[in-house]
Amino acid sequence: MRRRRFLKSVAVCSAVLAVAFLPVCRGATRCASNAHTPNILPLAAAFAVSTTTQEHSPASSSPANPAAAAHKIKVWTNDELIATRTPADVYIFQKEEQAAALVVEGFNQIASCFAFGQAEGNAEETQRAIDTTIQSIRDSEEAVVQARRALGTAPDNLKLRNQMELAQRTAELNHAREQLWKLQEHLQELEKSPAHDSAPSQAPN
Amino acid sequence: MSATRHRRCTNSEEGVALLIAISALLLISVIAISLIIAAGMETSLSGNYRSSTNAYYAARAGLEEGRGRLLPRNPDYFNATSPAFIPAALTLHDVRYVTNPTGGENVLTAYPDTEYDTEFGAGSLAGATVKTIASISPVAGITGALYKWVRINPITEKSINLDVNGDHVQNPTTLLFFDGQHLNLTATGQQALEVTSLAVLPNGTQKILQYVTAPMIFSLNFPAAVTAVGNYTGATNFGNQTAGFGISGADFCNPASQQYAVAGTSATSVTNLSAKLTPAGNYPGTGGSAGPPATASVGSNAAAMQNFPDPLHPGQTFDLTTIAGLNQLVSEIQSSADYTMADCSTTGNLGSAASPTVVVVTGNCSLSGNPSPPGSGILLVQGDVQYVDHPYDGLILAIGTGVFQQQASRLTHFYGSLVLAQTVNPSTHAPLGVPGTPTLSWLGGTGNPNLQYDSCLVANAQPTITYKPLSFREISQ
Repeated sequence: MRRRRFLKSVAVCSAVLAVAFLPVCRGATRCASNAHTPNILPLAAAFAVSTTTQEHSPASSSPANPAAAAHKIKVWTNDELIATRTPADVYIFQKEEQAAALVVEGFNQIASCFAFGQAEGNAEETQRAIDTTIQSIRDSEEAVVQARRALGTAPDNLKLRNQMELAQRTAELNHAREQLWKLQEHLQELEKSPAHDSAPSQAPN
Repeated sequence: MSATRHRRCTNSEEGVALLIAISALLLISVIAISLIIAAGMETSLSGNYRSSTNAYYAARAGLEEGRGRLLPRNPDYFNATSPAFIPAALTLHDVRYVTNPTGGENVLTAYPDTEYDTEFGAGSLAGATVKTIASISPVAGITGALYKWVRINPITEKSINLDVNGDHVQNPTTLLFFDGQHLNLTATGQQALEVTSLAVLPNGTQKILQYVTAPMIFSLNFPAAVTAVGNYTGATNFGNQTAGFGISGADFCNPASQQYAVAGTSATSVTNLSAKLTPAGNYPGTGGSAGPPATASVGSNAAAMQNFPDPLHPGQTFDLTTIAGLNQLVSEIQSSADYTMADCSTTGNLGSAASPTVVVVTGNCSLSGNPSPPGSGILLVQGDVQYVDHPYDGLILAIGTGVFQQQASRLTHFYGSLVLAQTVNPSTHAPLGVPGTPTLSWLGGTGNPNLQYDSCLVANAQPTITYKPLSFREISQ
């Protein structure tokens, strides 16, 4: 007798809990279908198992079904998603953004060595810029020679520092040479062009 | 009968004179012998004293050779004779000997150094890293001072029998350093060294003398690429406005460390300089944001300048925001200078990174070219500085007219720290009551950054002016 009453109360409780969790399970199933996060996926799938029959029936997804139409679908905006981030999430996202920014910056620095800007200006201005750049190259060559000799005679505590200086001087020299190449190309183009004398006057980069 | 008695009595007095004479002679002999003995003793004493004094000064000569040759400015500097003989920091049981043999003797075996094991423990010398170098005492074949060897080594609390940090333990392994005022175990300041000298005279007299010594650095630290003393009220821009120009407070030697590109010494000066440091991107450094800075890196180092550590008198300070303080600094640099010149035409005096010098220029100084290597050290100029190319690194102090100009449009670099202070009227050279407005003008702007702070070159420029004896003792033999 007592055992029967116990089983009855268990059945009633199960029914009540089932009714109460039904909407949650439906939502979870929808999440499971869109989930990208591996941690969420198994959980959502577990909920989905209990509601497979309802979800997969064509009638339940039909807009004609008044019960489904009445159920409001929560659309998460970016702001809402960001608001749900924990401080740990925020920290990780910030770290990732910083790392990505560093990678981009590094790439840009390397790319800048090969990305020659478009030289502009008429032939006279370009020739003047070429003369200036040639002078810069001479200065840079002297600076590289100086840095190289200084590295040879530097005391041990300055060797690393002088290597850095030599690298910087060499980079300056390479940059000046690239600039000269770019200007010379531009000058040749201007000379090939019949109307180069009337080109717009603008200083080269 | 009475006559006979009288004769007897008279006869009995005979010989007294002889006795007296003998006694007197004896007395004189004793006195003479005493005098001879005393004189001999005096001779012996003075001989011993002379030997002791000779041995003392012979050992002292050894100490001074050892102490003197530690100094990089010395023409017979150890490392100039034998590269890396004295490294930047000696480790425990790094032992260096200066040997001064007579004839072909091996002084380290003929006169073994038992004192080292006494200080560091039995068997320590056998496990030590020993290097030797010849003495410079004999000159042109003439025997010099009669010391046999000089030992140079780092010290510990135990080796000098001293509890430096008051922890009631004499640490046997941690090496001692000297911070300008106290010995310490925390590697603060410069490494303290022990110099020990053994002298042996031909008569066998021996003496050991010992110094504990530490280098005294003429330390000048201005943590900014450019420090402008005084209330800057200049009408023109400080530097150059072109995009190719730059003053950077980013430490070239240690990129993670940032200093001010330009430091003022008062709030007024900082405000005025801020308005003249345009475009802001030309002046990166601390206080600016990452990337092209929105605001120029300029700040006040007034507190540090008002309590500037006296380079010659550790523990004392002076105020470098005043004329008196600036003049005192000039005076101390002059007293420690390797060269004092009217101008900068003698470029050979400007040193190098391997051998930096302290140079005072009383007039204008024109520096140009790309010498290999560039000059390096401390350069104090009381007139105008004209600068182009890359002729110098280290510390330039334009204290006087306070003018620094790049006079030709060429690729120009200076690494280190530049200090500008106007203490005299630039036209009349009459002394000013308060520091005036210094000038930094830059004609061409290629090679950004042109002036960059570099802590390595600034530190390298600081000369060791002497090895100060911290203690002196005679070790009984």
